Amino acid sequence: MSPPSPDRLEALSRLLDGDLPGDEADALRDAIAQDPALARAWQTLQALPGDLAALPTALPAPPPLTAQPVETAAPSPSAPSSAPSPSARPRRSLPGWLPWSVAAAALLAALWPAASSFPSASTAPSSPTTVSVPGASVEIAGRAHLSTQEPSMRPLPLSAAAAGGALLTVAVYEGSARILPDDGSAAVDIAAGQERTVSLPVGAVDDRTGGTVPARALDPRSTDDVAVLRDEVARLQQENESLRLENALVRGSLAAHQGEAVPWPDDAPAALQPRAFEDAVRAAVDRADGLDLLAVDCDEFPCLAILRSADAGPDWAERVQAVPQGLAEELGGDEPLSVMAMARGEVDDDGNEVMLSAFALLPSQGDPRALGPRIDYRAEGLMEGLAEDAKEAGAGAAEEAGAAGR
Amino acid sequence: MASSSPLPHASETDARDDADRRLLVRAASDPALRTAVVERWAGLVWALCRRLSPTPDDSYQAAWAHLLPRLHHYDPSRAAPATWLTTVVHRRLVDEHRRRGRQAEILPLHGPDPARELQARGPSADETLDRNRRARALEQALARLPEDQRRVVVLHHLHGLSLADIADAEDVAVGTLKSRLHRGRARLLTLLGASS
Repeated sequence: MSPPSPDRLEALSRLLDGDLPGDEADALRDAIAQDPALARAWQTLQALPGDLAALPTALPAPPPLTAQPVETAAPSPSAPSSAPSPSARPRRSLPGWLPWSVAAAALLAALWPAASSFPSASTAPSSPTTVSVPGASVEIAGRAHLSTQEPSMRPLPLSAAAAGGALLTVAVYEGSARILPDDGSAAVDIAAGQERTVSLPVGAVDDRTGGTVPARALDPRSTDDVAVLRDEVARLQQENESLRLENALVRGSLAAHQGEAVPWPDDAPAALQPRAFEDAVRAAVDRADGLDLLAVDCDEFPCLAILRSADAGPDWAERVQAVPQGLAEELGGDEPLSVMAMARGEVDDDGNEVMLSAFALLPSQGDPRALGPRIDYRAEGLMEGLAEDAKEAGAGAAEEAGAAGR
Repeated sequence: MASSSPLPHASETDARDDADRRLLVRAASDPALRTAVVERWAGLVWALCRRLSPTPDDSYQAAWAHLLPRLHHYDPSRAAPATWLTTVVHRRLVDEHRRRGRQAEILPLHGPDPARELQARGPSADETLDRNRRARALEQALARLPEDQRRVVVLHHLHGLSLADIADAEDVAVGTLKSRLHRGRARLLTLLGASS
């Protein structure tokens, strides 16, 4: 008894859903009663929805995100902001590093004016000097930038931040600096290339003088201006982080899409070396019916072969698959090789199907899936070009035939 | 924007569903909650990408980058969070599929052949297959379905989306989708060696 045809199985599926007309349904039920193979298929089909529903709808161990989108996702349009949405910019057309650098520059440009509403200075003295700010003095031997700002201006990793105090930030470009808080707390040393921020306590009692330390210099600007600047900084920070996410995602997507080229391993099996591989594929294709070898690409490991099926009959996939499967057993010996393959169907302008397939053979040791993205990428590129060539060749042949007929 | 006020539910499941709805609504305006969103539904999004995309890692990254800025579109009065997330990810995957065009049906030549595996076990194989092995065979068979058939089978049978909703996202008629479903089931039967 032969297995049920695909059409018969589809009819079973329609019967299951009650989509079959009454007479057809009756006939099929009779057939099920008489045909054991059909009865088994019917039994499996009836259990299928339950079996599928029992599969987990969530799978464990998703891959780590390439960035922290939770912290860096673009703000939603409904979030209160007078600024245009960062996502409105066509950033993906830019090189990956460019949006990040532009955003970083914009952020710095916005931060400095914001900070400069409070005491701020850059120093490049030839000899050590001391700069006094309310609440502290800073000894600088080299070149440094000082700024003070309210704690709410940006998130800062301050373990010693006092509630409500202004923040003093010292960034040392060259040499070193030392922050000496007026309240007698421990000095903070800063080396070149480092940035430190300390809190300047509000209204703290100065132990030495019994007086109070002013929290920060009074800003002549109105509080409205400060609020606007703060909003602008917050917006730029959000945009910057959004860009960072997008940049990471683009890089991650590109790597996932293209994979990475793999150098030829020293211990690649002899059968997979370019010459041996091409010879073996050529021989296998000669033995097969209706297949042509269009290209062998061994620029990267592993070699890739592109085949064309001369006719696109229903069994073309099986015929194409037989080639790499046979080669995997033949070339692998006791340890059959792994096969990675893909296929592509195109229709030329005359409606003729052009069926191309690509395959690579890999040592069975290791994880062949690691090479998957790269092989897919190479195969897609090769097949894209070859499909165009095949279409053009077909069109050319048709024109010649037309001309000959005339 | 929908309200974030508690919804009247009694059972524990409903309480969890209610919490999920509120989490999704609040995360739209509070980026700090997006970690919780990712943690809560990473498995779901991963399962969809893993089963429905030929490049699941890539699709998973892209799905979250697509989802998180769109949380404000979620309306808790219209759909459960999992349903909404599934629909959004599905649409995204359909877009990806269309961008890829007619290229490249992946032929999984390597790895075990579920049909052959089942046949090799003989007539009593079905009786001895435990749940996990059946599930594994089913997963492998699903992976061998053409993408358009796999999407409707997975979304309808695993994730419970209606055929109308799936057809809407795929931008095809329900009849077309039903044909895909029937073809997909028939192919699954063949791959599972159900009639041999």
